[in-house]
Amino acid sequence: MSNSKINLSDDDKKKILNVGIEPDAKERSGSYILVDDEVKEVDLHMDGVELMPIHIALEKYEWAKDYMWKLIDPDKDEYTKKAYNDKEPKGYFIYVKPGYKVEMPLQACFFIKATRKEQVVHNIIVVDEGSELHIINGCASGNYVNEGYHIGITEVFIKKNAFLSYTMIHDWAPGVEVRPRSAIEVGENGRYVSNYVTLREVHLTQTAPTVYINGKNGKARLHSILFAPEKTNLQVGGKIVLNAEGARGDIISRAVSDGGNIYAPAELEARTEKVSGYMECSGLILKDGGRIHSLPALNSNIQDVELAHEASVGKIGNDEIEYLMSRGISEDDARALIIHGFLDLKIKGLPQFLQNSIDIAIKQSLKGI
Amino acid sequence: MKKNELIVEDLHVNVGEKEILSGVSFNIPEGETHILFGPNGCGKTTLLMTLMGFPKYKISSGRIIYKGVDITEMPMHERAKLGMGISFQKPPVVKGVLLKKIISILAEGEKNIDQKMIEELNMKNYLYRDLNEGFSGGEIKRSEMLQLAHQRPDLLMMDEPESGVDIENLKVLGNVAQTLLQRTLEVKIKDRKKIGLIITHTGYILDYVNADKAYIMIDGQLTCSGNAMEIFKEIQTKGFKGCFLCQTQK
Repeated sequence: MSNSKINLSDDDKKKILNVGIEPDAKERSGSYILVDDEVKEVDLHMDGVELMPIHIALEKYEWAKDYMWKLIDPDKDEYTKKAYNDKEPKGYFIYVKPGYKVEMPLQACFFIKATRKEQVVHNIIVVDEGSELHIINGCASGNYVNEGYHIGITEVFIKKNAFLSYTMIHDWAPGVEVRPRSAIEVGENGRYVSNYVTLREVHLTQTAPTVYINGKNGKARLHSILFAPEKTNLQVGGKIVLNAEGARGDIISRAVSDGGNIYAPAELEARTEKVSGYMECSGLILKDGGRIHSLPALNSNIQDVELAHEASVGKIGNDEIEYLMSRGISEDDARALIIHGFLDLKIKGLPQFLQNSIDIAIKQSLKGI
Repeated sequence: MKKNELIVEDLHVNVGEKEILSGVSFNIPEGETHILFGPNGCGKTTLLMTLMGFPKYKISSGRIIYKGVDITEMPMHERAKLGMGISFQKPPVVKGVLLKKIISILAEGEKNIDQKMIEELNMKNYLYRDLNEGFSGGEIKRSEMLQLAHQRPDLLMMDEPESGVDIENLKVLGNVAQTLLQRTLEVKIKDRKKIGLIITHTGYILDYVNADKAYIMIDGQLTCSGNAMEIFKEIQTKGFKGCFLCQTQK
């Protein structure tokens, strides 16, 4: 990818690096970059994968339209309606042919440069039978953008024996409002792992992806790592619907409020027998003025299910800080060490380079705390 | 460089409204290790925590001098930097901070981690666990000792390093404590610099660490001092009750 093509300033490039996007895409199987409304980059060097802007996919493949609005009801809210009525859908279409295992991640980046921009995207991801794909989706805006809106519809289809890991790192600006609306369908023996990371000031992020496990023994894990500085409102939830025998759902979240508000509704719903799920929501409040509102919910009317959750909200214990201080670590360093460790979810089964992207994002964001 | 010496002068310490230490004075000269005996609740742990600088323990009067510096008001992490180290009886769980992380900080870099020490203390399988999370009594003692071994303090304070430890691990912990305190034969007596203050109930640690002196603490005061083995035998035969009687007879 030539850097001239996307024409971003050095500061903006730094921002997309922070969300895991490599400008030279050396360690990526493909790259899709949207700046405001303009597709700046569609680059793919991998067999078995198709990557293209959604409007091209709709022209090229008759069947592509069958996936549009299959999992998300256009009437869900005013934002889905807006996206539904968008005559020129932006966003990407990714299709992995049956039996292809793509080890290198594919990167997608949505960037807002223009102030008062409303960026609306619709993404479709289809991972066909027996294939495997890792996506890193970085979303950011220039720090100078004092008002901006992003609406993102993402529908994901994971077929029989397929695997998708989807890592999304957000680094918006203080005046930006973000409303991703995502839904995922997991087929028989399919696996879905999502990692959502947001660590910087943003006016509002509102999202609650729903995963439907519709195939036997399908599995889904949703991880979220949330850090809310002052003036930040995160409404980040998640739901897994266990619809088939042997389905397994896990929701793990770590939330830190440093003066900002976090509202985190999570739900596991068991609609059939012999399914299981676990939820762990831990919150840390670093100072007064911020709020963590954690709502872990388990929902079933069936006897033979196993659902459990653990949840906590609290501050860093003085005894923990003092213990570290007695080893010669200053109070500030002790606090940073604990916060960093708290957010450092080591995610099982995630390729090392994706874990590295998350680690870098955490390190960058916690500088100075 | 000032001598590695601890001087405690007429220390009075409150926890909340209650006075726990009522005038404690002693000193540990360079190269010596002292033992602190006393019944439960007499103030032994309070003394160690006060010396380390835990804010909960308020010094109402008296002074602590270490390496020639008056540290009575010094923040805890600076005391540690000056060379003080402590092993706790019941340390808190620190979620998110791995044992490996803390020892690499203490050793000033991952490359300085003492692999042999990890083997010796049998802590290899605990490196990637959150500090003290789900550690058994014995594991806590070994983890504390492993941290001290990487911190290499000049003044080692140990709060019952052997309680709740089985015989095999006792030997391991005793040997490491002996090394950290320079009480092995490899270090000539005149070369010994490290100093130690150890709380013990069982006295088992005395089999490994030859102490120079021991004190008995009763009701927040040091009531008696002398040869460690002698005092320990006295306590074994007469109990702390005997100490009470001895004091009142005075």
